[in-house]
Amino acid sequence: MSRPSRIHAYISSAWRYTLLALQSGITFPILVLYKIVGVFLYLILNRFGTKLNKYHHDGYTTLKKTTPQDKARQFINKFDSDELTLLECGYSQALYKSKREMKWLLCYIQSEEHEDHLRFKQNVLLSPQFVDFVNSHDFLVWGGDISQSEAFQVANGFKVTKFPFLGLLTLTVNSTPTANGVTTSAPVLSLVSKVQGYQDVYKVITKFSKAYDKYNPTLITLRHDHEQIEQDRQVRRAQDEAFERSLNVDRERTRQHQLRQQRERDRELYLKWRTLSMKPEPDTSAKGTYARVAIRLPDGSRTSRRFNKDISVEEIYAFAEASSTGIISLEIPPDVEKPEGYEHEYSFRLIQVMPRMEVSCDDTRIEDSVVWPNGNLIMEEKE
Amino acid sequence: MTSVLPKGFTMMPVTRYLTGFVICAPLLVSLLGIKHLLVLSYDPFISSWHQYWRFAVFQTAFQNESEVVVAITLLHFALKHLERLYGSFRLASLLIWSSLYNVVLVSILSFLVYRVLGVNLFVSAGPYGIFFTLLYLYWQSTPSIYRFELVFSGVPGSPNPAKLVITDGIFVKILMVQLFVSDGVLNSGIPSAIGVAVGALIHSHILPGKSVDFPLVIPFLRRYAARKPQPTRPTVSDVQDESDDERDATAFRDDEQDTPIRPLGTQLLDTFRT
Repeated sequence: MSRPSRIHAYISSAWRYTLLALQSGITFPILVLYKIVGVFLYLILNRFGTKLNKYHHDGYTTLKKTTPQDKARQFINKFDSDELTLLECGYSQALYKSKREMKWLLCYIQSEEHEDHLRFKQNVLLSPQFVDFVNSHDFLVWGGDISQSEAFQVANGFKVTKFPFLGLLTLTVNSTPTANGVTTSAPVLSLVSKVQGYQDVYKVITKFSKAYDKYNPTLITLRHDHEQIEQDRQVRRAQDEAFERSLNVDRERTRQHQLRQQRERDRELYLKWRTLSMKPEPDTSAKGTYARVAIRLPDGSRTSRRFNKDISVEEIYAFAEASSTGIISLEIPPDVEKPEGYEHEYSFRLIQVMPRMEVSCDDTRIEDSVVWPNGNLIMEEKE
Repeated sequence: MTSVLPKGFTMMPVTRYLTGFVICAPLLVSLLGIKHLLVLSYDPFISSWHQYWRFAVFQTAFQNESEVVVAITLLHFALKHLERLYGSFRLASLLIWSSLYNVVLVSILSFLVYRVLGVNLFVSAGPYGIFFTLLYLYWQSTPSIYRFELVFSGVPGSPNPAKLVITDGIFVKILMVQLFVSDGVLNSGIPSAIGVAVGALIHSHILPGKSVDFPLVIPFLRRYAARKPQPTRPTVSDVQDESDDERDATAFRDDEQDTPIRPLGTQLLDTFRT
């Protein structure tokens, strides 16, 4: 009995199959049970976990702040295509953008779990014909998923009964004929064509081009008007700017004039004060304590005065200026004060005749300067 | 921008037929006087009399009109959304799958409860399970639009006033509770809870239902729909479609104030004003 009999083979294979069946019969329900229990546990824990977190007020709660932009970005990531560029903003912003730029807006809402979702996306939305159509007509494209609150509201607003949904929006004007002619309303954004559910790409394009041909003239007129208005506004702005500029120049001139007048007044006041505060002329009897200085003024007349040897050369300058302007001979009220914030600068030089050299206006004592003991000076205008 | 679903059953044949069925089946059952056939209780129908067909038919019709009303309201205000979310065929497939799962789970549960605990389960007649399966899926995929707070001040012993944050889904939830307890917390609650469980299992893809066509029926329906002759000339539906667009163009404005409203009186008066 070296070879096993046929019956033995049958029995052994039957035994093997029975074992397998038993094994799988036992393991399969356990597997299913395990999976179901796991999911239930997960659901329950998850649900109650979040609930508990929510009611635990002493701890901090993290608030997910998702802006419409974030939602749009999420959607674009999920949408994952390079062919169509979707607007990275919320729906209302997309409306605003379309209105401001006067462009067509294509609105796409999808339902990920819809049976036609993938078919529509591949065969219609991302088909080269449709992408070409959208890009050549310069449509703005906004997309959203129905699980997002904003897209859900939009879909309800457009009374969408079937997904995927494509809607074409543009600016239109309402014109109503009256006895006084046709009155047109302000442009409003309206849905002019919509595609619900799966349709052939040619059908979609035909439908949209029909709407485009019908409403684009209005949009072009509106855009033209808008540009006109914008141009007018530009011109007016330029005019306003020019006017403003000339007004500024005038204002500056007046200010300068006033400043100059103020300076003149201050200068006169200063000179009066300076003349008043000059040291008294030393007596001729006190020889050796004073220098005698003669000055020839620009108008040719001569004047002379005695100065104490201990005071500075600046006093000679003050005397010269007071003489040349005639202030020295004026009756000056004794309550004249030095004008505040005024820096006086002499507009002339005093020059010693022999040997010819300038007497600089500084705090040098008269005794140390060239005018000691006798000075013969010429007053010269600074150039 | 609204949270209200579009009116009517345009492009939603499955929901339409389901609504019709939910309304007509109880009527028919009442007219034929066969209400007693839909009653399901393990003892004595199954244990003594072996009437296993009762598992197959107990889901066909609600027994009371209030349940019908609540179910129809739920269908119209919430569950309609599922058809546009999934598509008609997928929803039909889902309905068949979920009704099967509900039957299986209810029969297993009533068997186990009777044998192990010795408790005789009475299960209310009507598609509770199917409705709660659909409702579970509805909650999983519907965003909330707005929320509001009810603030109760004057709760003794607490510094902050008690606050209740409610979303717009509360109205559907109230109807759900109504349906849940409509025939007694246990009688209608058990099939409803089983329906929720089935919904959870389908949603997490443990049981096939959402993305798998029910064999034979759905392929047949698909082929039937595809065989319908395509209209070559513009038909009524096409014309309707066009006029639909026109209506939308005039109906939807982002700001209604811009369109001047001229009542008939003004129009008449305008004629004489020059």
